[in-house]
Amino acid sequence: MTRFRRITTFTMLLFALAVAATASATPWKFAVLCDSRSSYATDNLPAYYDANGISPYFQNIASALSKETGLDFVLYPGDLARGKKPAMDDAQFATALDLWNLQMKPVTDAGIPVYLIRGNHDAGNLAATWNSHITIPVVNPVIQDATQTGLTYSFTHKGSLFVGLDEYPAGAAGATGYDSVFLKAQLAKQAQHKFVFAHQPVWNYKTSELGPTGLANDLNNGGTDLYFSGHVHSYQRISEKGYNFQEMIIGTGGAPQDNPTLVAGDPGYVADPNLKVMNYAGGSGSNARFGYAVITVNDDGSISSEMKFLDTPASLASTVSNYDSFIIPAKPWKFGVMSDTQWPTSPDGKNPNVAVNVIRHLNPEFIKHGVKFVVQVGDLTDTVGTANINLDVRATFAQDLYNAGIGFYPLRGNHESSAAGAVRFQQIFPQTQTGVNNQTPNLVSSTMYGPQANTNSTFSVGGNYATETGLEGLTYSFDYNNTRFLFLDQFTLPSNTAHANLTSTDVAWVGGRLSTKPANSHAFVFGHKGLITENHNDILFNSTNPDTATATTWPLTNTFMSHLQNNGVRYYMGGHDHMHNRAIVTSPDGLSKVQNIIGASDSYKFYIPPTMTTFNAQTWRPRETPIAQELFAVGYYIYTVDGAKVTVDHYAMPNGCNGDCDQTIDVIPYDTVPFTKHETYGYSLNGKEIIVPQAGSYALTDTTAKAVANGESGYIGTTAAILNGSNSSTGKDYNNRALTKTVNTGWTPAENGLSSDTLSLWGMTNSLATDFSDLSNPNYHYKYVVPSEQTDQFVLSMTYNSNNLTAAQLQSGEFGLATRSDDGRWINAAAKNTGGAIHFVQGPWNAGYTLGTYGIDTATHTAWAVVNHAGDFAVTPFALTDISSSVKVTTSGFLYSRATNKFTGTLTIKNSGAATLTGPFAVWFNNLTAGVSLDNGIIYNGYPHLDLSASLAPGQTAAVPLTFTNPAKALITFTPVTYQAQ
Amino acid sequence: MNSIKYLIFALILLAAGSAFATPMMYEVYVNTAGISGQSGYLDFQFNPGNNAQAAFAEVMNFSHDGGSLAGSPFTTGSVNGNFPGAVTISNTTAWNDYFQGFTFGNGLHFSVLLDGPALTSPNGTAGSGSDFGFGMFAADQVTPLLTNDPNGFAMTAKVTTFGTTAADYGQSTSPVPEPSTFALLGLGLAGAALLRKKSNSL
Repeated sequence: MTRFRRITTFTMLLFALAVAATASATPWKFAVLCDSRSSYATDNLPAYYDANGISPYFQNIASALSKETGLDFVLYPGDLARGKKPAMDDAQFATALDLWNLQMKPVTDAGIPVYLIRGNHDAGNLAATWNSHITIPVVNPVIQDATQTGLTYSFTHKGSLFVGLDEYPAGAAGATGYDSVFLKAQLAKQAQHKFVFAHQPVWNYKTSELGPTGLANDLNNGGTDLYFSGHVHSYQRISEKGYNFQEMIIGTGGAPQDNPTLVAGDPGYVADPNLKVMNYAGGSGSNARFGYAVITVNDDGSISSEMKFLDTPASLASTVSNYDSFIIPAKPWKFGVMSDTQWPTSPDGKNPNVAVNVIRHLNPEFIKHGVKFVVQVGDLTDTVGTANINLDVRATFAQDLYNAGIGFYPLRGNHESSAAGAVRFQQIFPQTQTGVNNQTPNLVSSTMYGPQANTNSTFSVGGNYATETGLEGLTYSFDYNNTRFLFLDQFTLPSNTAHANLTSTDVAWVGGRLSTKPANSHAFVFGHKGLITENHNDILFNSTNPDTATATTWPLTNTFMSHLQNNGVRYYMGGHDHMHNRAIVTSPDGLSKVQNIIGASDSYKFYIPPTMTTFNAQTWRPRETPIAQELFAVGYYIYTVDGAKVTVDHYAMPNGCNGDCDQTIDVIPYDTVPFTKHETYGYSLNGKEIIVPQAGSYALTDTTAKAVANGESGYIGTTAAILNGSNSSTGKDYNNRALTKTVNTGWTPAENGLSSDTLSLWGMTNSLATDFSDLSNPNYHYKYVVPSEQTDQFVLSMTYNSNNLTAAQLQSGEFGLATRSDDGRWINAAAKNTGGAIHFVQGPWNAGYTLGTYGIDTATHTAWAVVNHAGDFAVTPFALTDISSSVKVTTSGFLYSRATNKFTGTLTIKNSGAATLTGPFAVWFNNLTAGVSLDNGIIYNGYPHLDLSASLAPGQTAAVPLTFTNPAKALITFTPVTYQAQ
Repeated sequence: MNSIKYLIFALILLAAGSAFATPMMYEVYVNTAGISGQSGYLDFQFNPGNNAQAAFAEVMNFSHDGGSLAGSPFTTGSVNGNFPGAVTISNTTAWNDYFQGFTFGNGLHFSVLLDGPALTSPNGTAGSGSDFGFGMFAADQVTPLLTNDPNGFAMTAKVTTFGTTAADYGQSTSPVPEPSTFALLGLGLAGAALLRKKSNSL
């Protein structure tokens, strides 16, 4: 009783906090600008000069900013005032800061907080002066860098992380360092987006203005989305090859502008072949542009940005005009799903009525995969226990997730179905109503594992929380980026009102939540029991038999499933059955189909489907189209949402007893048999799905038309077709039902350099099935077919855009149907096959081509390949691997032909390594003598090169002719670099 | 490259033994009876490839059956000497060329010695070998004679990065003789004797 009172008190306090921290998934925005310092008197730029050190333009910019609606705050990374000793002593600098605050007052008076960081001009004065005149807003809890209080800090706003970095240790006037330890620690946190702001750029052609070294790598490694800086008085948006974030230089706060350094010959220009200025504005005289960026975090997780430049910078009443609007698509993100963790008596103490030991092995998996949150589909406990202690145990062992910034979203199962369990659930999982995680009372110390330390603060996940009246926090929903999540509870209400199945009220609530989700968004629905279950008879709508009481069960099922189907819910997922099972379930009226996924057990219990006699008598079975099944394995699921695409990876390990052992001693072989990926499946909002029974054809054609109709942009227009291939699987589930495949397509717009849009394919691997091959073995209990990522052999073709493609390139064998390698490069699709021989063909596919053959049909602008793997596909030049160290390239002398006016010779490539090298190869003629061109090579990416399609055994050579045009008859030299084009 | 109908080549190995890392001489006999009386040019060149080791080709013992040299030669690059004396062509520039006006008779002969560090002490690091080329052209200086090679060469000899050599007569001729094929050496000497006898009789 004492324990219960303590917990209740704690929880109520946390609810009060939660109200202030409630997340929202509606779009929100902030502004960024900096560099408002005035010119020096000696600069002779009177328009920019002010004796107090603030540019005369700044108050006009601040006035325009104050009129911007909907801003949550402003970021200001430095150079507020001219500052810098001895030009401005600390007293004068203090006056300048006060003036800056006064000129910014319209913004703060509009309720818009301003987060500031020092620039080099500010850093010339005492940090104490800065700290005593600059206030960091406290609307969000601020984490200060203990070594740079008031100067370097971070905060989280609506799930996104912001880090402000000071680059001037000990008041250095130039950027000499930053607290890398603090930055890395902040960026290691889970956040929907990560923004960092500091004064000096990490990339700029004028390298003398760059900030401290190492920052770009830290930002990249920490998953930064955007880096804001200034210092270079202009607007520049920059990307750097090899980095996954963009830099926005927004030094447009009124400081004297000069022309941006953009091309060779500009002052201070240093070439950087990897740097790309995406857009820019500003310059001296009439080219100057003053204003700010408005950054919007959209509800689908994407980031929008646009500059707002003052139309009349000298006017306090200036309007603004938009410039450089762009969108950064939402990055792929993940959530995890786990199932039942009930455990009865635990002789070894590892699983005290809750599968704590299983949970403790699953938590690191979810952390490793970088999920944003974890869903558990019920049966958290074996029983709730005295004073609900077992629910408390389950909640306590979510602490590892909370400490990693990962949210936890459970629902109830039949093992915690009581009213008391419902009430306790609401208390210990307040995030199901508020989104604020890490408020679970961490008071359980009775287990062998001891107290679980809370090392994190509270944090929000998602937004748009909603719940069903009477089932507050039990039946609930929220949005995360472009996805709506629904969690269903079909058990006794907190009010103790009976509630054993979903009711018409529940179903109506589901329909309401699904029908109001944003267009072209995902939705997933979770409950404990399934649409149809395997071991059990009870489902969401009936406690004994899906086909009894048809007058009530069937209409509810029909309505529920129509809500799911009509609102684009592809997967309904539950637990209860303690086995991995996927099947397409058809509604009783035959009008709706939804894939029903039963989660693998995370418990001591591993159910077996009914005997054949029982199974055959179950009248609802014909409404199931089985896809995959795996018994006697512990598992979890990683869902990756990438825009319109969803990919689900199912990880599992054997349960250690090869059956429904019902053992209370934990024998799961965590330490000897790691979790491995057993199955991958997925879909896209813009693709299509075909159901392919065994021996059925994979033939399909899909285009990007649906993606465009959904409002997506950036497509060049591609058609994909599976020209040949069939489902050769013979896999069956435990009840000897043949397993069907669901083949799905999806599209993403063409990336830079691709000649087609990107096609994603899922569902062509053999399904998880029962291995019946060993039935005569007296020790046989159950085996599953060992999973493989190899698919049936099929022929895929995709159209390509022939713009900028040369005939030689199309004939090279280095261009064609490509797939992503494990490290993200586009490699020959045939190179990822299991078996076969890679062989290039010019012309259309024909039925005689074997596995590994690929080709280009220039007549139809189609690339094709005979492959046996799924994944992402596009038409593009293949990625090249430098194999120069494994080959020796030599040439003959080059004779000059009076007949042709050309120099001719021979190039020889020899495999000097110990392994066979599979072609095609490309020998690049880097640094070829100026004025000399290689007539019989290909030029793209700026380099001439020759292609060789041979494969070379160790020691083997291949030779190709060379023809050069060399009008000056200069000595022909070059550096040969050899690539393997796979 | 050319037809056996017109050309006869033979090879003489000056340094006995291995073909590796040693100077190499080829004896070249050309039957030009089919274009006898036609004015044209003889082209000799020896060029490096991509970063070749130093080498040179010495064309000597030039003789002919009924033909005649016409005017002064045109030289490009590193060339020293004139016919009927020895002409030395080094591989120091992209195009090292000796281009000699000539009225063709019934045949001609020359010896070409390939020599220099690339043959005597190959360094193993060169990016290329060097090629010797011989061609015959019509009076327009661009129309090849007595060869099917579109580039106009009737005979080529390669110095490889290993210091070895290989000559090419063209696809329709007999296989390229190897330096150790002494039977061919005898044939070449016989051919040389025959041509010398005919030449003396003129």
